[in-house]
Amino acid sequence: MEFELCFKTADELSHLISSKQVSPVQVVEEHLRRIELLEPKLNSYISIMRDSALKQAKEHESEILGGTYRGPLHGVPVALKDIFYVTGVPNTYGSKINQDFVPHFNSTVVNKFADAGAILIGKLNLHQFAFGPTGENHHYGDMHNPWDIDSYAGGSSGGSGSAVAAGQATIAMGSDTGGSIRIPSALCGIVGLKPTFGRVSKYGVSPLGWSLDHVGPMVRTVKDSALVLNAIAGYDQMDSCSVNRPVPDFTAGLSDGIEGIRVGVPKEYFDFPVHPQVKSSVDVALVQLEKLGAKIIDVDWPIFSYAFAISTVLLITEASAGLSKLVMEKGPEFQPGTRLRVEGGMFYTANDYLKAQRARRLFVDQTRELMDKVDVLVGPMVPSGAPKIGQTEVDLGSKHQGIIPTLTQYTRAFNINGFPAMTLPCGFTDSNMPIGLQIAGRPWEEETVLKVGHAFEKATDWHTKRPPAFS
Amino acid sequence: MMKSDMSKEEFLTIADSLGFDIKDPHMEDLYPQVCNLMKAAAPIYDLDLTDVEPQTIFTPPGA
Repeated sequence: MEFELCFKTADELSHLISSKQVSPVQVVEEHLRRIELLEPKLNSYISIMRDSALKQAKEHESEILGGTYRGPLHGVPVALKDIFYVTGVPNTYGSKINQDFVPHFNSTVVNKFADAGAILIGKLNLHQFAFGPTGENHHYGDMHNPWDIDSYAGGSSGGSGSAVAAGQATIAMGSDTGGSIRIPSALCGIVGLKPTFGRVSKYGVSPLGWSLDHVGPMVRTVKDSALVLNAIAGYDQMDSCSVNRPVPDFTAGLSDGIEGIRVGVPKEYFDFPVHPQVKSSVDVALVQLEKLGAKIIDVDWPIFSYAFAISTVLLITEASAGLSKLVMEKGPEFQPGTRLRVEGGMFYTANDYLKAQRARRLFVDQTRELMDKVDVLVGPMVPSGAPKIGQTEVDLGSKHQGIIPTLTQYTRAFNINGFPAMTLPCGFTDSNMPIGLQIAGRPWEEETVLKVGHAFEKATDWHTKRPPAFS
Repeated sequence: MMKSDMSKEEFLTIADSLGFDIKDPHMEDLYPQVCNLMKAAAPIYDLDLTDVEPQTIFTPPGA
């Protein structure tokens, strides 16, 4: 079947490549053909690294044929949100204002992928300056959802979401300041993992909100996210936010099962409007987890309702601190929504910011106490399917709500506290748009999050579905 | 205390001090945005933060 390699997981490709049934050159060539074919519809990429990808593929093919196999990412194609520095490749940050910026060094993540033998095939489109949850981009064009090209891919890592869902990349990297890995992953029907803050280096990644930014994988299965985390996690003295903690093998306990795992479901999640089809899919997922041996516990998390306020002040202020000089110089060149958010942040005071940081302390403490009672928190990822491009409000059944608070309703809490959180597919809306399930864990306990996700994935087939128009 | 009901006059005074051209028609778009941001942040001021220190990410070298 044409393009079959483009829908293999990294884990599947690793078996084919290590056993020499398939060459990295075949894999890369097939992906490049698919990218070329689909880009007019999806607009996932900003730059395609055709020549360097083919050169790397040939070098890795020789290495593998010569008997050196580096591990499960050897020869596997990776695409990066266009905020990860790659030496000699423009880093646009999703804006033509930045199109001439060419880094002279690699981000740490890029070096780690290179050590693992992964092959960089291109840099992916994003919401301008990674500052928005829809995947709109007035400079490079909007990203389109492979499940319905008239719908948002989500943001800000929208190109990462659409590329993985449509078979344009096996692995994509995203960043997540208020949900930017998890939102497009959920809307595009793939797996997205935001690791614990400090787990993966951000050195050489364009910042948006220093105290909230995370980077992580966007892939098709939970196991792939564990494989990628194995490759990219670890302390980096070049990143002031990096934390020197032991890095386990994240694949080791994946299949241990979830008997006795305590799954907390915050009652406050459902104080906010959720589309009935999303609620129903999450309820079915919880039943599935219970069948697998988990204990489902309703829990109270009162401070959750403050997540939007705390996150808004922290994120908008930090982003504004980084981009205010640029917006004052080149405001009319920004896309309008991004411009207004950056400018608006200049009106928050130091007092507001410190008040939000104090509230954040309370938020972290309350979440820690809550998670003494449960092992993971589970709930909806996004309260609706992907909205149509251009929509500014979302119909959530009982209520219409603005698109930004809707898409970030369940994401921001885990940027505030830095706890690990993952989304994986758990159903579809009546209009056949993917629904995501969020699983969050204690800090540094990604293994538990991954184990619960893997158990759910093994018991269901949501992750095997492909966008009909792009199968 | 944050003002969640900033008047247009207050907005323009602050905008001017921040270096915006307050005669730019763009101010008509920015004013409602700033009001929305102030409203979005207001709930933080309802929290009892007595004795709560800010959450910072700075860790001294060697810690």
